[in-house]
Amino acid sequence: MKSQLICAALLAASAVADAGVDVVSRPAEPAIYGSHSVMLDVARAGNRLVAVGERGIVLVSDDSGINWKQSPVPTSVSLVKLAFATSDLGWAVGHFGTVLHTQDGGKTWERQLGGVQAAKLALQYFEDLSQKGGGDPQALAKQVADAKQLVDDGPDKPFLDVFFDTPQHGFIVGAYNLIFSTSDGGKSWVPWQDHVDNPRGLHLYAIHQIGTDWYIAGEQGLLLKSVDGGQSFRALKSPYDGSFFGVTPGSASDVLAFGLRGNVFRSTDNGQTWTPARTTISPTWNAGSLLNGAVYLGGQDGQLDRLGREGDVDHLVKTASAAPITGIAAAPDGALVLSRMGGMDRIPLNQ
Amino acid sequence: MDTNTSGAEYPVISKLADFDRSSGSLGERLIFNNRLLVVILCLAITLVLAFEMTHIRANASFERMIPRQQPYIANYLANKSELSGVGNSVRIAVAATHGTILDAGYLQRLQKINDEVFLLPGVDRAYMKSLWTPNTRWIAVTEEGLDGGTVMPDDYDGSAASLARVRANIERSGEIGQLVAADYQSSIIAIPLLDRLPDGSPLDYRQLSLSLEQVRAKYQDADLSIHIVGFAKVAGDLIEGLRQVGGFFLVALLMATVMVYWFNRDLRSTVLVVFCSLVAVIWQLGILAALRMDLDPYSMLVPFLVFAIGMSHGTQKMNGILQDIGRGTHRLIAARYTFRRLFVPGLTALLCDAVGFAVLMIIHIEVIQELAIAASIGVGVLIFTNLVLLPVLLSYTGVGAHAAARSVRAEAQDSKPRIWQFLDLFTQREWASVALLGSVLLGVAAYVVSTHLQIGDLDSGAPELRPDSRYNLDNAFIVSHYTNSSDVLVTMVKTPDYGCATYETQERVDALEQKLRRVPGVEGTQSLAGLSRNVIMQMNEGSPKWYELIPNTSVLGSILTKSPRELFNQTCSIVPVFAYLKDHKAQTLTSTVQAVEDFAAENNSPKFQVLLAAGNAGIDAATNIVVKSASRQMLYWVYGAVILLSFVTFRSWRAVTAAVLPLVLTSILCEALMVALGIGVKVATLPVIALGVGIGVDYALYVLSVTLAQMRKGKSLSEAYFQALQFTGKVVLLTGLTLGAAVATWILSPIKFQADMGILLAFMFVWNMLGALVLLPALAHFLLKPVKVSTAEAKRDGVLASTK
Repeated sequence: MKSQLICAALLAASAVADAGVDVVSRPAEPAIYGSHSVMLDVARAGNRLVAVGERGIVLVSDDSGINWKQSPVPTSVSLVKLAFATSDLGWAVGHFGTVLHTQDGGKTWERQLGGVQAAKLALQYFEDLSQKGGGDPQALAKQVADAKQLVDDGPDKPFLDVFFDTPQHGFIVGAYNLIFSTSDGGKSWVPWQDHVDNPRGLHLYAIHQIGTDWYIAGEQGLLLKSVDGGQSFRALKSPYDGSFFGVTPGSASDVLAFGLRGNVFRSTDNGQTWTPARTTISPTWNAGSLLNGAVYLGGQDGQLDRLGREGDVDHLVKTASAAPITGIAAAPDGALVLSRMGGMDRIPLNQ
Repeated sequence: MDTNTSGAEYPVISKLADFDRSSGSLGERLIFNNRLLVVILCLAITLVLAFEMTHIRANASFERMIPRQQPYIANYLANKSELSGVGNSVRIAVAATHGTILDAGYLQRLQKINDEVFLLPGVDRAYMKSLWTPNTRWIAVTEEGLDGGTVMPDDYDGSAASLARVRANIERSGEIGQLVAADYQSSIIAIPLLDRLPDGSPLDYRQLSLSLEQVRAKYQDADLSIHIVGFAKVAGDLIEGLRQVGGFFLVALLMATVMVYWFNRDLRSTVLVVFCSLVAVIWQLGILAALRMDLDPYSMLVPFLVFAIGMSHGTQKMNGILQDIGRGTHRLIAARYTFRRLFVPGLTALLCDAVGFAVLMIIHIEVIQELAIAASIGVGVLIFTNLVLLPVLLSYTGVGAHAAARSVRAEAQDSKPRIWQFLDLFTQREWASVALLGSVLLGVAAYVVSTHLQIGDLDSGAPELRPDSRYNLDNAFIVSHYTNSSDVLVTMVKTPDYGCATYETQERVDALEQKLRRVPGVEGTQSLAGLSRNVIMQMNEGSPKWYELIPNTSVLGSILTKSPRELFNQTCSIVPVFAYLKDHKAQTLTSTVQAVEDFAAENNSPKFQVLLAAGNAGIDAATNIVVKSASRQMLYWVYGAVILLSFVTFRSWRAVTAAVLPLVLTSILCEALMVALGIGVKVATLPVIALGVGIGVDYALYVLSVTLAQMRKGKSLSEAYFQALQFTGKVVLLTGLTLGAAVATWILSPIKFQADMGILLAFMFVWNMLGALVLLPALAHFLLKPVKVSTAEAKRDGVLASTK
């Protein structure tokens, strides 16, 4: 009975092509709970900290995370990840295929890309490519079909990470193998799905340049690496079936991938082999960063671990909250600043 | 009416044979020439109604206390069957006084309580929820997807290992703050109730409340404390409180009897006055029972008022007869004289009272309308019992000769009693000016205070009960240990069938939730949209990056299978949005309701309708709206009626002004007093305001009618007023004190609003009395000039005033 109802509910509401237009183009309202909103990432921009979160909330702090001020943003969608190429130039990505750009260190933002536009870009790009007749026709046909699906679905897919290695060059990755590249600081975006070895179309949760290599971590144990500056991403042999939510450089020219159910794997041979690292048990590691010479991992139950040089936990950082940690950054004064689902948090240096 | 106590019109006739039986009005002749028949008839009616009275039931119905026609309530009632989370329910918090709930002994006893409560009649068993019910589940994210199970493991055996699993399951269940207190020292059994039992009979709140008390008595001890909240418990406690109120009636009866006896020192007539007033109460209750109306905590007020009003009018009659007999008139003739003199002012006064009550009918809240009906009936029967039966009975019994002589002696004394001399001062310019100036200052000050008057209930918890009642202590316990406040305002979002899960619907519901959260006083919200955000995150392996309402209908639809049923209805066409408020003060309710109304105005369409309001705070909000509009309206009506009746009686705008202005001052002072005592305008205090005016004008009617009659005969104001004091002043004094004392006993009621009513009514009765004795002569000094009347006018006045 219940499943019938739900089927009917689905049928009754199948047309949502333009859905989300309102929330996409509505400027973010002042955060109801201020810096206690659901916050999803924090990053350093020069001497400033910038954090993003639910409903288009962007917060900036010029005093190492003690006081936060909300920046005006032209959208109300949840923003999930941030990256700064310089202290002024930064990008934020999030739901409904949203990419925002700042040129003043997070104070003002403009839209660079939206989900509808991204889907059209992909369709146009792959249709053009298949007309030109270059490459594998079968693979291109699949890309065209996927892009059509993207257009049909509407802007329901999020971008989940962003990374710029120069002020001009960077990648954005997202759900269902979404990936775009730019070489003009985001003025134009190039669909990049055909450069990625992800035949199952898994979510791409994180992208990071480590040394000269690019790593992508994703759903169901997906680990990808590019050694040619991002031209082609090849699948690595994964040590784990569960999802990875992030990849970060370690403190000893190693690489760490972390994700579901407290799993952390470490590779000292540029991703060829991975060994499990011993951390405190946590449901999931959401965030991980190399900060002040050590890797910190933030967990779903609010736990913050500092890893030693061997990748094993050597210090459990005390925090007052059990709200999931979503992002970690080092403040100019040396404190650790966390974004949490319960808001911004700051752990002073002496701890 | 001519209230001259002696003279040509009312000659002293000591022998019945000298009296013209055909004198007096038709009514008087009908009654007094058939005295025996009147007595037998009244006796028969009393017996029948006394029998009926034994069938009267005490009850407190939730739906009768709410304004059913108010649009919000109409919306609620229309959709009530679709809302499973907002209905009537009881929550029992079972607390471990030492240690935590993760204890085999605690959990075993919790299971026993759970099983016992499960079997109580009226419990909606499918939706009952506690640690021990199978619908309390946990979920966790694994590589394979979502895993879950019941919080109490199937193989639970009370061992330390099992207890550890219980703890882990509780943590993963999301029930901390809902079903389990954050400090792990208590857990909740949530019991939704059925309105009607499977056999169709309505839920018996008193029985349920008693059963719950039995459970409490059985299991509460040094290790376990039990806290019970919910409307059913409030209703049960109210009904228990009602039963205690019977005791107050006895106290009021005793006090009134003593006062009357102190006044006339005549046992025979005192007993008769009390008897007739009691007969009125029996008739009133008997008629109520015959009409199949229940006594509820509001209409419980009526017998008190009927008794008190009956006592005051009865005393007026008795006083007249006492004086006539004292002068040597035969008791039957004395009774007829008194009837002749006082039937019309008595009737006018009772009509004013009745108008005061009847005006309450404009408030569309059933309990208030029933109070109005019950009170109108009560005042109506007083016309028979105290204006007719009492004089007839007194015509048989007469009064004690000693007491009669005493009353005349007091009057005949040349030395005026000091209190009358003092009151008479207010007819002089100097004192009158002081009194008026004082009143104006008092009125202005009180008006300033009264602008802070709040609408609605101001206390937290169950405002019907006292803040330190067991119920409110239990409520405070639960509020402080669990997240969701007890003041819930539910907005119903209505869509076409199967429309609840569309992105368009949920996006707007989400926006409504956001708007509500911005309202000061809203502590939290809950809805299907909010749940969707969390479930989407869970479905994506718990990653916070997915914390968003995704515009994907298949995803949103699949969430329904994981959603608790209180968040949408069977046909997926109603999405309730819960707003948890910090209190139910008028300001909080108004701003919350306003936010929803604004949202509705901007967003309502045929496919998306935002409807207020369910939940206790929603009902409070609706009630406040009704009370607020009624409170002014009611004042216009009651003052309009009182002015009209006074004008009919006095035929002089100046006199009406003098009679009504003191009442206005009392009304303003009463509002200021409410501010000072922290009492809001609510269902319980609204009737008081009307009653205060309606009953308050009685005094002015008695005092001013005598004064005017005397002045029309050419007497000075001072002389006329003194005459009025002599004749009715004592009784006015007595009436004020009797009425005041009768309702003042309510202050001891365990039911908070009855206590509030008691305080305010007592204040209004006493203050109105002072107004009539002090302010009225002062106003009369400036408004009423003694006129040298022509013979024709005097004659006309005489005709008018002799009341036919």
